[in-house]
Amino acid sequence: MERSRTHVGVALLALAVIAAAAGDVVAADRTVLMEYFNATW
Amino acid sequence: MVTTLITNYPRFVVVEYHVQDAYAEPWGEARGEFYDIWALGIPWFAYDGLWDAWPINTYESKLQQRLAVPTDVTLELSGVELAADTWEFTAEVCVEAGGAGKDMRIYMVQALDKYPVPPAYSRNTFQQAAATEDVTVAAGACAEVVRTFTFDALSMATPEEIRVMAWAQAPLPGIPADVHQAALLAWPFVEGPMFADGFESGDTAAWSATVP
Repeated sequence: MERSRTHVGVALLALAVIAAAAGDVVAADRTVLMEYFNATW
Repeated sequence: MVTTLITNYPRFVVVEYHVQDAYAEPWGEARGEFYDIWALGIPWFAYDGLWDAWPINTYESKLQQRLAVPTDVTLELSGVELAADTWEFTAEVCVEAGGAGKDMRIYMVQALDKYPVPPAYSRNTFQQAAATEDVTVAAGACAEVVRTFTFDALSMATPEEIRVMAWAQAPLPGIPADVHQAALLAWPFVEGPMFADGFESGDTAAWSATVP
């Protein structure tokens, strides 16, 4: 029983490490620029 | 149509350039040459410096498409008043730690919203540009570009319509030139912090109150 608990703990730690690494990838919200050319003739 | 998009999409910055009319400015005309607009004619709409978004019934879907493209660049724009009509603006451009370092050309311009009227659809019409600056930013690092704008009498007649925009674009001589990030500040350019004394970051060192 103790071994199972240890395995679960290690698995959760591994998941936390993976989640932390995944959070390090790009995550900025893009603001889009529109440049608009026109004339009033 | 453009007004509807501005209203419905907060992460959307529009700069309108008049060309070959009474409201045209030399910088705006040169910007048109940058995009080779006369190959297709006007109206001409560039999303993030990449392509003309014509026809009009595809503007919204193309905006949504572009909003979904990830970026590793952040851009924060802030302003400090030097005089009633003169402000210093700082664009802080960063590349996220998990991103890729890159060379970028930082643009900063001033526009006047709802000008000229007519036509009623005029939005964020270009007035002046600061000198661009090329920066190289590594992943996890930032660069600051500081520029000063003095607003002319036309702009100061309706200061509530003054807009300042900045964007970080690939340093290329013409289209396509990917815009990585953009930002807009509206008069009076003050964006107060939502929290104070380190509350947001969890740094409570500056707190003076104690809990019994």
